[in-house]
Amino acid sequence: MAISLQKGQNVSLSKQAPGIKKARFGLGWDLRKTDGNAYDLDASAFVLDASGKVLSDQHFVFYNNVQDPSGAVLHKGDNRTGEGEGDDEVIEIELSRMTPNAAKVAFVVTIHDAEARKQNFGQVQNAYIRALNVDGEQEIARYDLSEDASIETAMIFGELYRNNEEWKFKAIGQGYAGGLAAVARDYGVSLG
Amino acid sequence: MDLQPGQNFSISKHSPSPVAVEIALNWEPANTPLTIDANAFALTGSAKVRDDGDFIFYNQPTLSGGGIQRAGDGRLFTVRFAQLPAAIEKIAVALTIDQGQRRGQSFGQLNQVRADIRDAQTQAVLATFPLATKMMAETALIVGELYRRNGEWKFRALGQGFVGGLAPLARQYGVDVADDPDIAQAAPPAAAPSPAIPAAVPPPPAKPIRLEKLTLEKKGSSISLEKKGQGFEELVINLKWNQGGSGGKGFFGRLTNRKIDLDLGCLFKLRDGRAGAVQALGDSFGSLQQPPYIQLMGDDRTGASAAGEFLRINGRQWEQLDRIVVFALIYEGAPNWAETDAVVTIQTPGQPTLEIRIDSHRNDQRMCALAMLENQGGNIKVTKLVEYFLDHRFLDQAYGFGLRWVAGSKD
Repeated sequence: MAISLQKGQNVSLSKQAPGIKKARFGLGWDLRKTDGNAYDLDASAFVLDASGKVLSDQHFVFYNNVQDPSGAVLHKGDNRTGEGEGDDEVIEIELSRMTPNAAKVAFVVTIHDAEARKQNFGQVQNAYIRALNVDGEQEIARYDLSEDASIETAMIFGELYRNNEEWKFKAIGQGYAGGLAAVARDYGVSLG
Repeated sequence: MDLQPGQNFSISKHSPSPVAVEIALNWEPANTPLTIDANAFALTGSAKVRDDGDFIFYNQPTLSGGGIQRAGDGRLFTVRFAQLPAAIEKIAVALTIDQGQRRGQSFGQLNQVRADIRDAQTQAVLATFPLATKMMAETALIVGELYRRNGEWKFRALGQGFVGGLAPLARQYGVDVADDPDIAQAAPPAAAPSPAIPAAVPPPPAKPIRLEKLTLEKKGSSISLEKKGQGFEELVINLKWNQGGSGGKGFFGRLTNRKIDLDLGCLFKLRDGRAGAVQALGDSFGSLQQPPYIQLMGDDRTGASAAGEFLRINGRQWEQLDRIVVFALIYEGAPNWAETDAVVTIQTPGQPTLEIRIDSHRNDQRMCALAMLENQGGNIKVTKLVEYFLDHRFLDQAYGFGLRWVAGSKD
C-alpha cells in the first residue's frame, strides 16, 4: 500500500522498500479538457549538492540532456500532450550509482512555451508525483499536488534526498514564476 | 486588479468579506451579430452537476435555494455563498454562442470578453478579467470559476474555449441534455425495424433538460405556455436589433454610422375591458403592480444599450389580462426592416425561451406587430404575427383594440 504524502511530508524509500536499487519517479497531470493549445509539460531533474546548487550544468537532466554524467539519473522521454495511460513523464534513478556528492535531486515540472501560450499551473489539474521501486513495480509513495496554483509556470513537485545512509522522498508542491529558465538559474545552471 | 488566465484570488480575504458576489459579463463590440448566452454550472467536488437543476441558463435562471441568480439578460450572475448547498464546491461561468456552430460563428468575432467580479452589496469591484478573444475559434468559452478552498471562496480566471457550443459543454459537466439545437441537420435515420416481440417497457428516463430556444418560424404559428402551480412569474419580452454604427464587415458594414432606433411597445386589453398602449410615445411606460401589469423598461434612444428594449409583464397578474399585441416601431429614418435584423425573445422562469425573428420585411411601413399573447384558460398562447402597418391606428384596427389615437411625440 503506497503512502499518500501531504505537502512537506517525507518518506524513507530505503525503509519502505528495503534494498531498493532503482527508483522511478512518475509525474502526471490531467489532459486539457478544453480547446486551444495543449499543455506541454516538461519534467526535469536537478542533481544538487548540499548547498542546493547543481553539481554541473550536465546535472540538469531534461529533454535535451536525458542523463547525468554518472548515468544514474535517466529521463525516460518527453510526452508531448500528456496523452496515454499512466505517468506523463518518468525519471529513473539508480540509487547505488549516484555520485557521492549528490545530496538531493529536485523534480521540477515546467510549462513549455508558457508565456506565448498564456498557460500556467492555475490551468493544470490533478498533478501528482509518485515514487516506485522499479524492482517489482511497486508504488511506494504518492503526492497529489494540493496547492491551489495560480500564475506559476514552474512547480517543484518533490525531492529525493540523502539522510545519512538512507534515501528519502519529500512532497514539495512549490510554485515558481519564470518557467524552466528561472528555476534552472536558481539552481545554479549557467544558461546560454 | 486585472486577472490573467489561470490566475486566482481570494474573495473571502477581501475586507469586508463579501457574502455575495456578482459576476458581470461584457464583450466588445457590444453590438455584435452573435447571440451570446451566459450559463453557470454549480458543481460538486468531482466537477459535475448533481442534477440538471444545477445548470443555470436562459431556461432556468436560478439555482433552487437562491444561491445563484442569472439576471440582466444573462450578463449578471449573483452568487450568495450562504445560500449555496454544501455539496456545491465550484461554480463555472461560461458564455456560448447560440447556433454558433451552424452559423459558422466564433468568439474570434469579438475583440474582448470581460468579467467583473464585484461585491454584490458594496458594488466594489474585486477583480476584472479581460480576455482577448480574437484568436478563438470556439463557440463556448469557460470564463472562470468560483470555488471553495480551505473554507474560503476564490475565483479563478480561465478563459478557455470549448468546441461545440453549449450542448457539449453542458454534457461535459454532467448535464443530461436532450438534443443539440446547434448541429447541422443530420440525415434522417433509417426506420428501425419493429421488433417482433415487444421488449419490456423500460422505466421512463429522467426528463433531459431542454436547451432549445423555441423559435416560432412561421407567421401564425403559436405555442402555449402552460400555467403550472403558482402561475407565471415575470415575463420578459426583449427586442434586440442591429443598431448599426459598428462599421463591421459584410452585410452590416453598410450600416456604418447609421443608427436605427426601434421602439418596443404593446397594445393590451384587460379582462375587465380596459385597453391601452404601453410605449415610450406619450410616456406610457405602464406599471407592474397596477393595471396593466406591463412595464416598458426605459427607452434607449441612444442605441447605447446593446441589450435592446424590454417589456416586463407581471405573470402573477396574468389572470387580469386578456390579450397583448407586442409591436416594434421604427421611430426615425426610412423604414428598412431587413437591416434591423431584429429578434424578439420571450422569457419566463420555468418555460422555454421563445424567439421570433422579424422576417418577411416590408420597407414601406414603419410599424410591425410582432406577437400576440392571449390568455387562454390561464395559459399564455403566443402567436407570431410579423405583420406590417403604417401606424398605430391600422394596427389597432387589425387587432380590434378600439383605441382612440392622436399624434404623439417622445420629445
